[in-house]
Amino acid sequence: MSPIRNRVAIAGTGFSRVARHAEESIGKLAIDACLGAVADAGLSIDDVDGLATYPLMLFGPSSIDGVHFAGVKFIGQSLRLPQLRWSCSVTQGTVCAALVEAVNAVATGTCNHALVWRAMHNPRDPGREYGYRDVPASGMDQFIRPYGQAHTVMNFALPYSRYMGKYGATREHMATFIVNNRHNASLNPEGAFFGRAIGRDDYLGSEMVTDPLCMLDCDMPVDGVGAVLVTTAERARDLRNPPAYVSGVAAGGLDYMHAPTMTLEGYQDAAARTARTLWENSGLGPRDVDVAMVYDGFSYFVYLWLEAFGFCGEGEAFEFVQDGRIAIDGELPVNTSGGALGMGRLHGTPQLVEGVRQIQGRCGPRQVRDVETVLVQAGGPATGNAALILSKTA
Amino acid sequence: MRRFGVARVTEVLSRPQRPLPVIDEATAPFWAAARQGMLAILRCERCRRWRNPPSPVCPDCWSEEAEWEPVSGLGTVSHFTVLRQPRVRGFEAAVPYAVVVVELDEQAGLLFVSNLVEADPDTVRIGMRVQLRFEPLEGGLRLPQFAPVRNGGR
Repeated sequence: MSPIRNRVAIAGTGFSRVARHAEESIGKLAIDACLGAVADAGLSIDDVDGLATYPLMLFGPSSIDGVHFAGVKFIGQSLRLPQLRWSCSVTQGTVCAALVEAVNAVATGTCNHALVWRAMHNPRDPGREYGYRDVPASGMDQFIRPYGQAHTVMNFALPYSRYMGKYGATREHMATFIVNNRHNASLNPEGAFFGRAIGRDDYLGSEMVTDPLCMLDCDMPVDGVGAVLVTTAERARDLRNPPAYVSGVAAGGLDYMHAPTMTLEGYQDAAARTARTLWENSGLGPRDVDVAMVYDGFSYFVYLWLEAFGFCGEGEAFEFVQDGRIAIDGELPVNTSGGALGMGRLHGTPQLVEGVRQIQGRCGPRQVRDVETVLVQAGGPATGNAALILSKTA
Repeated sequence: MRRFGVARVTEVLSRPQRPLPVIDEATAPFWAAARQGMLAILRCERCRRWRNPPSPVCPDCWSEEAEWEPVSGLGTVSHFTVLRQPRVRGFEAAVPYAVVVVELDEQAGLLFVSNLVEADPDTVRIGMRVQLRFEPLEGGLRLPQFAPVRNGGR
């Protein structure tokens, strides 16, 4: 079990405006989210002495801090933080991996109040995204690109095709998940699909991009930023909101299979290792969890995470999500915020921010009753990920 | 290297403009074998395990000793996708087309990426038996491809 179990807590959360294309720069949105998280905690920006993010800009030809992405340098300079003494940029595992670093930094006294955010910019000309323009078929790509396997969504479609073929999952099964998820999102005024629930036929009739993934299996790119404020448990108890104690963490999630593409087995193995670490680190298990907030950049990731964490068996998640089991009032509420599929491509912040607020009892119509323990996870099954357990009591 | 024989050359897809492989020192033997109608895969000389893509050491026993050896050209579709939208440059006219990950008969988990050729992409299934074909590329290069097995198996 972790020696720093419940010694660090999340004390504040914030979201910027989320829009398909925002008028404000991504830098301004990141400032909004960060200041929001600081104010929510009842702190002043002068208290912030740590910064951590996952700054990677996924698509686009250039990368200017504050314009195309929002990194620690931009935030540190824009908010002029003279007391800043720790900062960190992670290169995988998105917002939860940055959070794990901040938890460790706070626990060791490297800093006292750390801001952690993930800023996502949706450029109007995504450039490279569509077909990897001008990228030569060199290195490992010489075994893939001559076949026209050269689009992000194609890569992520492969493991799902095998999942469906191996276990018998269908688009009908996924329709249930998507309808529930968009219902959750329709209750969330901070997300892109607020007030926009859909029915099964909307999903089943959704345009196919690359089998078996349709448009509604993919999160929609947006401009938006989510942020949280991390501090010691002791300090958090004196602040405005109830603390969300960090009871365990895991970060990793790399596929070590030697293969030319991502594979279902590689995904399952990498996700299982993250899950095993999380349970060992927290001393808890799936039966202790009241709400599961798992990464959903592509819809079927949710299946793989539910299975990896042991909420159901391998190849069973597509049945587990039926019959209202994952609804807000169900046996295991999943992604009550609507996740990325319901809020927009915000890389784990829909999971993290909502997870904290479920602990704090601040989710309004989406609030789950009697929440004691929340699982929060961000990142794809094998492309770098991280997870944590949040608890209401230390 | 054992000579495997020349596979049937086939016309496939609606003329995609395929990016040519940028052949390097490590992959030259693969493309040289393909020119002769062979699918050659790197095989560890110590533990005899195959690996694809090629890499400097064997991921199973870490030996550097390896040889390119021809495979039978039979396999099973383990993963696939069918692109429906013209999102890949050079392949706009080819949609819909199927990309398959073929598990080669030689070894469990030995995967090779190709298109599914000589078949309606809508017929692709996990577990489908496939066999090797070759598609001519510019400059005498030939691209290993896979088509459904017609005679029902091995």
